[in-house]
Amino acid sequence: MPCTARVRASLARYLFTAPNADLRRRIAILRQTPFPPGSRSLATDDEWHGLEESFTRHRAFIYGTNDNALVYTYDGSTETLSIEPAVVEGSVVGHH
Amino acid sequence: MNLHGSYPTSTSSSRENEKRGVSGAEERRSTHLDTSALISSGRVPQAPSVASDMASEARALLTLAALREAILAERARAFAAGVLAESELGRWALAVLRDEPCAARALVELANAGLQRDTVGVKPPNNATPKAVLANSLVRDRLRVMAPASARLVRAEDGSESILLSLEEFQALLDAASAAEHGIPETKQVVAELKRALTSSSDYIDASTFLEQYDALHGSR
Repeated sequence: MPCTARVRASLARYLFTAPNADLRRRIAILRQTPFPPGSRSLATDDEWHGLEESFTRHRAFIYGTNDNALVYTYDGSTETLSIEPAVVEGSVVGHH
Repeated sequence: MNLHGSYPTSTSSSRENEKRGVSGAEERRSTHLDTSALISSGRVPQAPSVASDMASEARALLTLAALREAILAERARAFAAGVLAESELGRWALAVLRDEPCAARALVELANAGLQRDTVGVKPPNNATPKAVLANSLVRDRLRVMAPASARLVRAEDGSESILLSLEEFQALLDAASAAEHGIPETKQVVAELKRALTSSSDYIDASTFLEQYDALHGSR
C-alpha cells in the first residue's frame, strides 16, 4: 500500500507564490515513490544524528541538488511521508 | 517475458514461444490471475510499507512462470526495478540505468561501494597498485569528461570499454562528483530548519491536493 504523502502548508504556500517546476516534479515523484534514486538519508549526518533521539519515529532525507532540493521525513509507524522545507539556490525556503 | 522458453525441458513449441515473446501487444491465455495489470515505473514499490506488495508480486510472477504464462515485459521490468529500489545501492544502480541527471554521481557511488567491498572483503588485492575499473559503458562518455587525462581506456575483447583509474584518481573523481552541481547541498542549515519545522505546528496538505492546486495556478511546470 502506498504511503501517505503530504506537504507542509508553509512550503505549499511558498510554491504557490514562487512556482518551481523542479520542486513540483520532485513532489510528484515523492508522492509515488517514497525513496527515489538521488534521495539521501540524513541518518549519517552529524547534525541530524544529534536530533534523532528527539524524533525517533522519523527518518529524514534530502532529495535534490544544490539548486533545488526537498527535505522530507518518513514515519514508519504511520507510513507517512512529510515534505518539509525545501532548498532553493542554497537557501532554505518554505519553513515560515 | 517468457520465463520458461529457454529451459531444455520445455515442452512448448517454438511457435508457441514466438507468440509468448516479450511484447506488450501479445495475446495471452485467459487466466484467473490479472496478468494485464501493469505496474508503472512510477509505482515501483520502494518503501518498507510496500514490501508485502513486492512479495505478492513475486508470488504472482512465480505462479505465472509455473503456469507457463506470458509476463508482460513492462511488468517484469517494474518488478526488477522494485527489487533494486529496496537497497540504497540498488537505487544508485537505477539512477544509472535510467540515465537520470545524477547518473554520473550514482556511478561513482556504486563504484566506491564496490571498491570498499573489495577492500574489506576476505580476498586480498591481487595487485600491489590499487585501482578502480569503472565499467559501465552507459555513462562512459559522461565519466570521460570528468576523468583525469591520465585515465586509461581499457577495451575488452567484446569491444566494451572501461576506464582504469588509480585509487587517488578515483578519489579525486569522487570528490569532484560530490562538489558537482548535482551534488547534495550542505545540510547544517537544512537540519536546523527541519528541527524547527518538526517542533512547530503540524500543518500539512495532502501531496495530491497540493499538485492539483499548484497545477491550477501554474500548470504542471
